[in-house]
Amino acid sequence: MPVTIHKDIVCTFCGALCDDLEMHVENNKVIDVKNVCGIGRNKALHGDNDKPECRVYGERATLEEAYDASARMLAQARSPLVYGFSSTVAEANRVGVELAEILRGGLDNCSSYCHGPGVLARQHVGLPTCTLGEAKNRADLVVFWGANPMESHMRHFSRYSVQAKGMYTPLGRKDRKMAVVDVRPTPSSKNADLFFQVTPGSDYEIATVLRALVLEMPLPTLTDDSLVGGVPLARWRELVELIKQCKYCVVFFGIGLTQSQGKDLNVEQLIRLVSDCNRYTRVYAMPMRGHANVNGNNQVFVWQTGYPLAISFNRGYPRFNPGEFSVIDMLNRGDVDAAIIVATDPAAHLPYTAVDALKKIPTIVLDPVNSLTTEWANVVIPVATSGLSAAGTYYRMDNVPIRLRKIIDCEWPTDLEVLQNIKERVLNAKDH
Amino acid sequence: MKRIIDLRLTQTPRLPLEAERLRPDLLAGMSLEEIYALPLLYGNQMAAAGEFLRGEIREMEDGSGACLILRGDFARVKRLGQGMQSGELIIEGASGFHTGAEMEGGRIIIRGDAGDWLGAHMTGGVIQVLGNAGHWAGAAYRGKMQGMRGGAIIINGNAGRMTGSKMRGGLIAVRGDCLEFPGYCMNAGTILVAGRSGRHIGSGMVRGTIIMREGHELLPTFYRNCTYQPPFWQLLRSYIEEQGLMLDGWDADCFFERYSGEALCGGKGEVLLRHSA
Repeated sequence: MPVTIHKDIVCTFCGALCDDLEMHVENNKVIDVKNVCGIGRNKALHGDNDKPECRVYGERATLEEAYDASARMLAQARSPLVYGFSSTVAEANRVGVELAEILRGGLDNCSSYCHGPGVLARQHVGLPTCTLGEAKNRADLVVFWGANPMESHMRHFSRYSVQAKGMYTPLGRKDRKMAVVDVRPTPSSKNADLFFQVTPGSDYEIATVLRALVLEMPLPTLTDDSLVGGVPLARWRELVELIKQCKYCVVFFGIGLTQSQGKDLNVEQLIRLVSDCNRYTRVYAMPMRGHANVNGNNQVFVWQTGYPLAISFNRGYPRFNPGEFSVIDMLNRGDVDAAIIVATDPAAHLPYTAVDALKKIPTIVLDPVNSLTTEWANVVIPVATSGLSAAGTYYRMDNVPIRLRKIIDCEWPTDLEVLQNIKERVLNAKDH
Repeated sequence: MKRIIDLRLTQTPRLPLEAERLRPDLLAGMSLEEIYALPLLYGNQMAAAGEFLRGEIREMEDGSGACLILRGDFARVKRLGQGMQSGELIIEGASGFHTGAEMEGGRIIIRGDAGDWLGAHMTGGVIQVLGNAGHWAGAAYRGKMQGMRGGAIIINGNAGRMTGSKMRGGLIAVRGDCLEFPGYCMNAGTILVAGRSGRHIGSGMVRGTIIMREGHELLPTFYRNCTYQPPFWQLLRSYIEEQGLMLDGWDADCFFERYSGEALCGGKGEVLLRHSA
């Protein structure tokens, strides 16, 4: 069989969505990938291989039987949950929202336990932000706060931030300064010009002091030797001076900020800091979104319901309350009596108490590969892999939508098709 | 003539029950049959209140108005007394989320623990908790800029995170401890925590008063002003005692260290740390 070379393919591993991959396909199988990180390569080579069986209560079933069983479970439930979507296309997200509305159920996505607090902070104080293209072409200072892209977003440095050669940064790394704020040395911090090893849980306090320094407010209880978050104040002054003197700074924040003590309040304070810095120079903030399309979840949920996560339709209209309607809290309290999980693996991600709660209720899972959840879910529906055997739209971490192409064929339907089929059957069952 | 509606929870709801209709002012003129027929949101469908509640109605010569007594563990029941304007609601057990939220008047007494968002956005009345309260007591819901605007929340036990977040008026008094971020972004009102508080007291506060005991570390953006006896302290203390909360060691003549802050938000708020004798 001849080898077909597909260029400018989008990697669907992390939120950086590198769109310059070259995939070599032979006999409907990806045999080689170029311009890709180690994880992206593994996903591209094996993302469509290990398909689960289509099963209903452990027995092999046809797709039609699986759709019927799923619709029956969901239609009978009094508090169903539609959850996941972080690794599927925006079009499937949209049908997921429709399904949740028809079911009058809960709706949540994976940002509820990763970058959701950043989204909540953005709702409260806004977000001065830019695109990754601007970061590449203009930024002469990049700050990573609670993020370790060398291990989580492996090509971020070379494509967008530290080493990327842009219009006003032709020398790449030599044209840039880099600072890292983290609780421990990481492969990313080893590349940094300035590294601040901070005490865990002190981000809010640090951002507050940095704001005071930027605004030149008195700090009478502190001297240059006083420790703020485990780092002397004099060193924080150094960072503030660096920011004030740069031409264009981008602060990339990760889960180290959004999931440590303070959560959304940490991000709120960081965003306020970034806003304050704009009195002196251009400074922007950007979340280092993890799963490839978790940003797309927030985008679709917001334009469909008005809210980005933790939504309940049980009154027939969307209500939003993280803590009350977020997936982990609902499962821990036993507020859910059936769940449909799309493109995520809760058994691997959620606390065991939440996983135990899922195991006790009828659970339907749509997954392109075998996972810890497909082992015990009541209904397992194999699906095509987004970006390999399914086309659609993903949103990059800087809110830029990127179109994924289908490059190989798959015998199984896409998430979108499965959700549409289940939705139709639920509509019939509920006699809408 | 006082009307007492005495209801008992016959079964713990398997799923959350939203019971904003269970408030004394709404139930005052209803018969038991009418109360049993009240629709409550159970999961995504309505259920009759009678599926979960049974009880009796008594008339008392003394007093006036309505008193609703709920007996049992109502931890799975949300929005009890939400928006109530008058009367008395006594919960002989725990209560769920949003108890007394948007309340305008009357009194709620919770003999067990209260759930999150207790008295959120309330504008009047008194909520008394004999157990512990959850997170966001007297706070604002996400996306709202003003939380509790009036009334009082008196907590005999401990409180959770974000107590009084964005509150705009009223009083929250906690006899025990509270977790992080009490008075976050508060605009006005008073929070008193007699025990220990978590970190970041009053962060982002614009105005208002937070009273704590000595030994708490404040953010560096709070500036020490003086040691003094605030003129309102005796009034506040006697009001809290009237509400049944006795504060050991908080004498009428105690002194406070006054800090103003948060400087990043104008610095018009105050944190009073009780001065050690």
